[in-house]
Amino acid sequence: MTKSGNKPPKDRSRGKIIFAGVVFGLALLGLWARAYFVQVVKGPEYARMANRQYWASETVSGKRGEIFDRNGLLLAKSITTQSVSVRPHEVIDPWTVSQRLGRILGINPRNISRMLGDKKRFVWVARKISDAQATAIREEMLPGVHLEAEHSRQYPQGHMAGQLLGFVNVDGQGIEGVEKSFNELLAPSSAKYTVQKDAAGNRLSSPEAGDRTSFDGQNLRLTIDSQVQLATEEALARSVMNAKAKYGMGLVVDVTTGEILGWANYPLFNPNSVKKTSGEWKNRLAVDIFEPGSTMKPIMVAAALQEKVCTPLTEFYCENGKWQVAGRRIKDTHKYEKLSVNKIIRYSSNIGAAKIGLALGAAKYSHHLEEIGFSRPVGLPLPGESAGLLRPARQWTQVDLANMAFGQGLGVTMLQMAEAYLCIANQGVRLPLRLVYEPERPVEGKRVFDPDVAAKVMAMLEEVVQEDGTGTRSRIEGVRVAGKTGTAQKASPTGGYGRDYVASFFAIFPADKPRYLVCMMVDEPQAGHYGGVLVAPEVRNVGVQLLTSTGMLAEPTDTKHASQPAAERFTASVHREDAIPVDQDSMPNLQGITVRKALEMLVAHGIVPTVSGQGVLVDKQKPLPGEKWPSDKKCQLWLGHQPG
Amino acid sequence: MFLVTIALGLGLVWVNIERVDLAYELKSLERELQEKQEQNSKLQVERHYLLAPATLRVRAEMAGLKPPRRDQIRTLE
Repeated sequence: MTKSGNKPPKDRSRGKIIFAGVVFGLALLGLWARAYFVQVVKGPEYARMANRQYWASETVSGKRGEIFDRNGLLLAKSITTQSVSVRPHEVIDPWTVSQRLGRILGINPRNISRMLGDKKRFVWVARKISDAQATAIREEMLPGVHLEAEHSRQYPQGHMAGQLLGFVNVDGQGIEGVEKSFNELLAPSSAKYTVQKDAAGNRLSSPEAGDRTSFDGQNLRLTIDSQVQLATEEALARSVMNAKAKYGMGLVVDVTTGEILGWANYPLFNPNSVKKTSGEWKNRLAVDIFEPGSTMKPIMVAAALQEKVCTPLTEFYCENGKWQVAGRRIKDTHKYEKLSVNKIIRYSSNIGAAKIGLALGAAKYSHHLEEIGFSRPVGLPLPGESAGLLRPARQWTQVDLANMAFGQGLGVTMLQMAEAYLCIANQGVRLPLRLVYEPERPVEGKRVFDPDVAAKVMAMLEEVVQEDGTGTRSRIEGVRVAGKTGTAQKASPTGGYGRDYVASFFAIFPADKPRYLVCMMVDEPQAGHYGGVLVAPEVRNVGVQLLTSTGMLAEPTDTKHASQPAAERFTASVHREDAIPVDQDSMPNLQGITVRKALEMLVAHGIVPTVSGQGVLVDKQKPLPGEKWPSDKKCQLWLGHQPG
Repeated sequence: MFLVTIALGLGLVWVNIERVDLAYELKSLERELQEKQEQNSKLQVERHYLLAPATLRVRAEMAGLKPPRRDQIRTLE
């Protein structure tokens, strides 16, 4: 019996294969469809999203330019400092954070706790902290506490020329002084670049960014000489304090170039701490207007000489100290009868000056004042420079003209007065004042007075100091000094003149070959009011330092050499030996060698000798040559004058 | 052709990895340079503060020095 009834199992493998093929086919189609969707339909959008993740925009900016004095001493520089901020919502343990920050920053932790309780998302805890504090905070790794880099402007010379330099705001923009007027030059530039970043958000270097220093602002070099500046500031401070004055100003100018070497305002101002010294940043030298008083007389006399109204020897009757002009009384401090023009300047007679002024006339006087530069800013690159106050000549009455002849009734700035005296000192050529150091720029002036007129006025100014004038306290032995005192009454707010004064002194060193102009003024002095008493001595001190530092002033006492030019008297060419023998057992023979070499030899043996006499060569010595080195380290050298 | 494509593909990957590595290194060096420059700036400010005439004067006076009298000055050339 066969098992013909059993059917073989149906072969479904084909169907399964087809099914699987269809499934895979559909899946593949799906993948292709998805790939098409991602790559073609959504491609551009996803590419943009990817770019946002991989690329970022970065702003690169430079630093603000630096400011230097004429010798390259740094006056202002920007550095990066750290500031501490807190994001309160990120802080886990406010108590610990406030305690640790308080300890590092020297702030009461309670104040920090209060900040942390603030609902703000961002709070500054301390700005511009020290590097040591920043490192300490970084090491604490406190959550929610962040260090932010900020630019900070530093003025390493402290208060030196503070008002002139001015300061910048928190954004690094110049707010006052040179920082403001040269903001465009000093300000850094910036540029945006696209940089790649990784998955963690770290930005990778971009060759496009290039050298960061190319974005730095340009540097600025001023004509200020820090040594002169310091001498001026110290002298001005002494003058203001001795006079018990409200404030003061001092200016030193190089007569040959018009370059400003010293610019002092007192009270001093430190731009490193602007908030602590509010108000003292006012640059009074450029901004404040004052009535110059008698310091205006030489300018008026120069105009009168130029117009040939008088000569230095023309005499004017000075009315025995009291005179009425159109009902207004003019007084002198002393009674004078007849005074020549040079003596009117020497003794500073108001009545004499008024009479010269009246003889000159308003139109001519006004013309010369405008020629010199009064009534307009001198044009220094400084913000808010005043133009002074000079009414048109047609508005002047006789009383106005008489008053203006001795410096009352018109308003000037210290810069305008300095420029006027610079004109006199420069043989009648008006030179513009300079504040930016540009040695290659030619010195170009404009002639205002004839050379002989300027020379005559210089001779009168010299009499003020060297003869029995009002400026004798500025005399320097061995040097001829020209100067003029000023004691101006200040206008009262209620009209007329009150009891307050402006005391000033202008001096030119040396008078025979003008090199430096020193101007100084104190406002509302309480310990007297004469410029010749309160200001002249300190102007003299500045003059001594200026002349000493440039070798124009040295040994004063020997009248035998006083008539010789300073350069001949105090210099000698020095032949330098290659080696200095310091290993001798006994005192070497120092006689005949230069004081420098003798000093080098003695100092090498620990001896600082006492030097006396004049000249640059050793004449005698004690201990004598060949004697033992002194055990008490005392040695005396006598110098002899044997130049070249 | 297939092998060349594979080789070029691998080369591209290698170049990209090198580029990213160099970019990291460069960034790190840039950061270091900037820190050194910052430190240099601060030291310059400190140096000029110490050399400031007013600072020197105070220190000189503390050391017993004082400005020379006129007869104590010799100019040598």
